[in-house]
Amino acid sequence: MRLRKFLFAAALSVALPAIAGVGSVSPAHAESTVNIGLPFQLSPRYFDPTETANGTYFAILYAVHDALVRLDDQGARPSLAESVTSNADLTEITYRLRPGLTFHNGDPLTADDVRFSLEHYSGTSADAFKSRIAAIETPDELTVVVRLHSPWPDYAALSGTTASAFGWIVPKAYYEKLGAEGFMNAPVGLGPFMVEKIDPGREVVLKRFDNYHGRKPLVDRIVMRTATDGAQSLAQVNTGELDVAYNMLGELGVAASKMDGVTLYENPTYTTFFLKFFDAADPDSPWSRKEVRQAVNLLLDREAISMIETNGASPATQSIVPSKLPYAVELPVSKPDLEQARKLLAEAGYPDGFDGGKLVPIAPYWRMAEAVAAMLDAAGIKVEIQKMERAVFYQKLADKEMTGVCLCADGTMGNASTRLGRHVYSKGVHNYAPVPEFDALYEAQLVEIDEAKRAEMLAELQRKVYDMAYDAPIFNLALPAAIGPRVKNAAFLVPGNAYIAPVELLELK
Amino acid sequence: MGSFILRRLAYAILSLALLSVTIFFFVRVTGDPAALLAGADASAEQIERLRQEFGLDRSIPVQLVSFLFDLVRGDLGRSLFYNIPVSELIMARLPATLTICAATFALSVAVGVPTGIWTAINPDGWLDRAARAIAMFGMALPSFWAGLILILVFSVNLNWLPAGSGRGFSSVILPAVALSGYFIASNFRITRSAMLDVLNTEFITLTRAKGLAERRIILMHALRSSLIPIVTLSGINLALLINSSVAVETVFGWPGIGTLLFDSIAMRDFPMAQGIVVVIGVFIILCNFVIDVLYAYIDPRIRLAA
Amino acid sequence: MFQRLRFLPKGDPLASPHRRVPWFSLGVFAMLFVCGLFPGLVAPMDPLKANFLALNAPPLTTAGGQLYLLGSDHLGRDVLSRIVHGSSIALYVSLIAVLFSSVIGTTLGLLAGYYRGWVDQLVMRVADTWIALPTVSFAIFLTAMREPGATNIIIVMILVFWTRYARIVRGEVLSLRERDFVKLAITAGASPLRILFVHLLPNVINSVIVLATLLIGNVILSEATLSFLGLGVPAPHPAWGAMLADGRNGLMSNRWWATVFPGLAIILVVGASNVAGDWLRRRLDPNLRNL
Repeated sequence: MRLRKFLFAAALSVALPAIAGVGSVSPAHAESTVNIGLPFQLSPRYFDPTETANGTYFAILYAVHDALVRLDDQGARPSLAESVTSNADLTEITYRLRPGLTFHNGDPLTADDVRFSLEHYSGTSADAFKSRIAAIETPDELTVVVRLHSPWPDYAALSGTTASAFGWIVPKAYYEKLGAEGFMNAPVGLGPFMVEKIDPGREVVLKRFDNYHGRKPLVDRIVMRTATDGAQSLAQVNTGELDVAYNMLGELGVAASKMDGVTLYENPTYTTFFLKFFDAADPDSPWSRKEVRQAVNLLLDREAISMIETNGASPATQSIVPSKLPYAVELPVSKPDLEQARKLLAEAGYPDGFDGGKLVPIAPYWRMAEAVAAMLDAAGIKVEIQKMERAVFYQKLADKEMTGVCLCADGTMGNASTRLGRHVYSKGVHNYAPVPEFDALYEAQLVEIDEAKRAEMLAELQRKVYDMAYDAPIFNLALPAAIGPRVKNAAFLVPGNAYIAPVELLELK
Repeated sequence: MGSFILRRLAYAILSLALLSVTIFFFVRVTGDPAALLAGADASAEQIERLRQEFGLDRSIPVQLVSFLFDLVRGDLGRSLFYNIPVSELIMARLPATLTICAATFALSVAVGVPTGIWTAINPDGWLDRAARAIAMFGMALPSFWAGLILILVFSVNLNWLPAGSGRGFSSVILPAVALSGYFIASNFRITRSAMLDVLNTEFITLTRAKGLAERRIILMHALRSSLIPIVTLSGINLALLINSSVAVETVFGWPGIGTLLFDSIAMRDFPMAQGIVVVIGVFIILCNFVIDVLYAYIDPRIRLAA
Repeated sequence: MFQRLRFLPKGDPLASPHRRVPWFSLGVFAMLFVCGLFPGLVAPMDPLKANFLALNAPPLTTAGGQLYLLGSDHLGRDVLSRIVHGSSIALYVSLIAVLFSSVIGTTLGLLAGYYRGWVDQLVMRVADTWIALPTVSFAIFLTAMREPGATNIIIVMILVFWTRYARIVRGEVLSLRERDFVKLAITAGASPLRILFVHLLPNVINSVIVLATLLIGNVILSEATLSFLGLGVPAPHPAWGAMLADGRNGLMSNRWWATVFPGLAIILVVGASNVAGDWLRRRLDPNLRNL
């Protein structure tokens, strides 16, 4: 009898807390707190706009910081600046700051802060800015003048969008006092939300900044929490632990759309996925043959890949320049055609296919790589998938150490020129196969001030790249996000931005 | 006794030293951390600057000495990715891991031990047969798989329990249950066989002959003797528990040192990876040392054997 | 740490009055060997062949004249065929890892137990240290160093599991050494090599065999864990753990088959290894504790 009692008590001691726990699952949010799952590790670096190295930073920047010119739901428009003017030959840009703005810590915004932020900028395209800017002057407290060495048509495309974070402002005195590392862990900005608490790598709690100069934020708090596993973060949206979860790729999208109260938003991005042929410049490699590359373009079933990855939401493309970027031209997308692909391969001397070496996908798109490998396999082209961490991938890519084929993705904002510059131009960071003809066209358009002429040159370049099947583009990613029942407006309003922005428009029911 | 403890302590320290040196070399053969950290568009100067910043430009022996010296002072270096001291981050994450490990331990004892006692007293009953079959299943159950199925059932379909870490106690339930399958089974097995051992001794047979009133004695005697194997098993299972928790933490996005370790390698945050492995190693070695000393108190034969 | 093992019960944890031959487990083992050695003959389809017309087909679907008995995965590949081919990887990794760790661990255990002194100290201290290194960290470091693959997993498993053999064998040798036949051989002037391999090895071989049987399951489980974490055999090869990881997105919309079936395969094989190991222990070495 005693034993039975003991066993019962033991069982109860386990079961009781479990039962008690069930009751507490109902949403326990404080009033108007939005919980957002981040699909990446939250690095303190993301809080320093001057370090912005990729698009991920904008998930944080739009909440905590602000820029001279900022891209929002109404386009790129002056935000901290009241007005932006430039002289006729585009060598002098003058920013007039809004008067009376303060940082989260109460420091007033001055021209000095702006100059410091611009000069201190070391993120994407920093080299381009450094080499072209002759001087940054501050004639008075609220005026900043950027002087360029020579006309630079792309200045606005690079500085007023999400192509770079040049123009996002940090407080000079505070930043210098804490140093870069101190600043990252206790950031202060001009944005709609201020940092209340950072739990490194886990979550950041943001509190509404009442003195924000723009539209007033519509929620009191935002909690951004690392949730890198898609399936688990979707489960959290279902239980109400999260209100928004990004990257609902593949079946997760289907699952999200079936859940009660959960909606799926398929966010169009500027991220183009494409196959890059690393060995195209090597005459001994099959990839150097135009027919082979054309055959690959015919072997790819882009609709099927879009279906596998995003339930068909991502539009197929055959250009690495998304049609919504300035200077992009529409190019026809070929339908999958195994017969024609085989014929082209036979012409190139590979009627039964060949060993194509490695297929290196960008992390974590392994399953897309598997689909691509299976499609190439249909014509006998064998590739071996090699997984690489993202950091290693980018390093090897930039060091030009890659061989075989890459399943690459480029999601940088900008225009056709900035996009092509990275991949097609011989000095581009990701170029593996220089083509002198491309270089000539690219360099000529770079300094062309006449809009129409420049557009024509860039169109010609894009068509030439297409004609020689320089690469094999797949689709422009529509990134699905799961949105929980409490959210009224998830504010995916900045074109091409993968994350919620502008954050002040985020609203609960 | 004193010399026994001293000897064990010397072993523990030797193990710690061996561990630190092994980890040091492991981390350094995985590639140039500075280049990986600097990222895609970094120039040679930037990489060189980072190398100097983290002392990677010095010779390996110098790095090793300073690594060991820092270690003795409890300085695990600075995380490259998070930019704060590694020890601070580990301390922030350790409670989360200890929570699920403790919950798993509690669950495995609370379920495994009573079942083991019961089935040993009533061998070959229906409960015994069922428990043994379930234990076989539990021993073979991949904990991360169990975690996925639990999320599917309790978070997605039933919507009873949270799938993440932010809901206090109720968040602990699913990961702990997922993790405890193996440990419940192994506690059950060890308790049951320990009890059977005791119950088969002549002493017990004699007391049992005196009638049912002595059952309490059996229980007390048996319970006490079954505690020793459970402690033993826990020491042995400790490393296993921490290993399995890495996969389970990943499944539940649990903010413990398991996910921290996994991420730190993905980010090539080598001071971090190194620090976590050192801390886990120190933890396991210390636990084993404590258990060894405890045993020496329990059983003098061990002191002599060693 | 070794001394503690004496606290573990002598009795067989799952001793049953009927010492039946575990036919079911042996059958699972036989199936593992047949599937693992001749996957091409057993599997109905090519495990890598994607079928974009039959994505995520539930079990028992027929598409394009093919029956997907256990359904298809997110690329329309046959789950059954992938499980069958996955058994090749499981078998290959576990057999090689177990073989090498038995040889290394047994040799070191024999030497440590026979020579005692500093050899013993060295082996045991390294073994103690090894216990404190998580398997995952071994695997992660190796994956960062080399391209991921089966060889990595095998190296990790050998690094982890040799200590088990070393401990058990050393313990047995320590007690065997005090037995008369060994003492006699030593006084008769037999060479150490002869004593080690003629007198000692045959007496520990039973334990080694039992341990090997139990470890096959352990290795398969660890391999699955590492593959699940993306540290194992790279895609598109159908490792069971990787199949689980691949299937988990589908699981969220109740497409359970791509995750549940590989999981069951793991449980079956690991369970069979445990049962068969217990049975062998009963048959060969009833006094063996905590292997």
